[in-house]
Amino acid sequence: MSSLLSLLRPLCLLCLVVSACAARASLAPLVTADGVRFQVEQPAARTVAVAGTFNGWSITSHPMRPDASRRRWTATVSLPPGEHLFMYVVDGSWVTPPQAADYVDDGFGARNGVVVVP
Amino acid sequence: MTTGLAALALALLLIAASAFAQGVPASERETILRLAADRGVAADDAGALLRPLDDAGAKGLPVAPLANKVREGLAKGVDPKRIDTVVRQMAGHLSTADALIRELNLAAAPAPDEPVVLLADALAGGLSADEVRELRRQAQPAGAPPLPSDSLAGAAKGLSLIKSASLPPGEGTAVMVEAVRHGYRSQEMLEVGRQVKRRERDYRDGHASLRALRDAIARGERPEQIFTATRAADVERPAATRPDAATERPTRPARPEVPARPERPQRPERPQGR
Repeated sequence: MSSLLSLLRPLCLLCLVVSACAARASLAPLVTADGVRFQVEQPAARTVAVAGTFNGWSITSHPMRPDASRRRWTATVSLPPGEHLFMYVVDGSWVTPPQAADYVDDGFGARNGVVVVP
Repeated sequence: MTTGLAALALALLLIAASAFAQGVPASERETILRLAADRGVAADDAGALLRPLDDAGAKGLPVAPLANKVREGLAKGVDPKRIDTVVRQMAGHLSTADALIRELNLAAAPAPDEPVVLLADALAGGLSADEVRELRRQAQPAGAPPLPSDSLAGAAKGLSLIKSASLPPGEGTAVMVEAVRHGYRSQEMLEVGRQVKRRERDYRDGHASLRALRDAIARGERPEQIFTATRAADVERPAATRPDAATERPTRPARPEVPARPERPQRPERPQGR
């Protein structure tokens, strides 16, 4: 029994690492048929929005919705082809995206994420 | 009655003309002033934020990116003086980009503002005007038809991304010249620059080379072919950058994003005499 457990333990650990990596990878904005799906994990947040060059940096025009566990927040935005800069607004605070195609200084001391629509 | 209508039409025309002569649409002006007021910015300071936009508009420069930067600064609660400084820097880059495009006698692009904005981005990213001139000199052989301005601007932005990875600008120029010669679109040249920047450590350590990249472009390969081949051994590309990402696909485990790659520890010396 103990040998079975010792065999299973590394396997479980491997699964955890792989799933953590997968979760991290999927935080990049995703181009879908409906538009760009922005996603961010903010389990403690009350409100999350995505703001960027595409909406004049409005903190209200693109609110994000939480999933059932209120861990992951998503919003799908229809964007024209090209580069778009963005950040997340979490409970009123500006947050640099954890994953993006590229990052650029905003000139104000923070970094904007870049999303590219082909 | 007719005279009244004519006077009304003239008045409307004058209002519209004065709004657009300065390059900032009246609705944009109102939005910025309202955002500033919401943020508690004094009316004088808010008016001052519009001045560089008016100046740029009067010179025929694109105003939209400047207005967007003002909005960004206000939304982020940045001090108006800081916003003003950043917007004036941007306006300076737009002015230099516009002058360069005229000086280099490039063929007009369908959307003439786009190359100016792209080239200004490249200048803001650290590319010099002389490097842009050199890029054009190499990309457009003597006697060849004028290079399209959007093509040169895309190559310049791609080169600025390569330069930001602290790689030799000469080799970066050669890569972009090859891309221009092979008819790469602006977005493809940006993609090349972005990929090199993402793998900057590999390029600096010699695991990848700009010469090999240039050779691949010279063979007629496109970015999706070049970087797909190396992707398995490279960091994951976010879906948004994949040229084939028009439809949603399941994501897969990925390595951490660049530039988060940790430093490699020094390998200890192997003991002698074994």
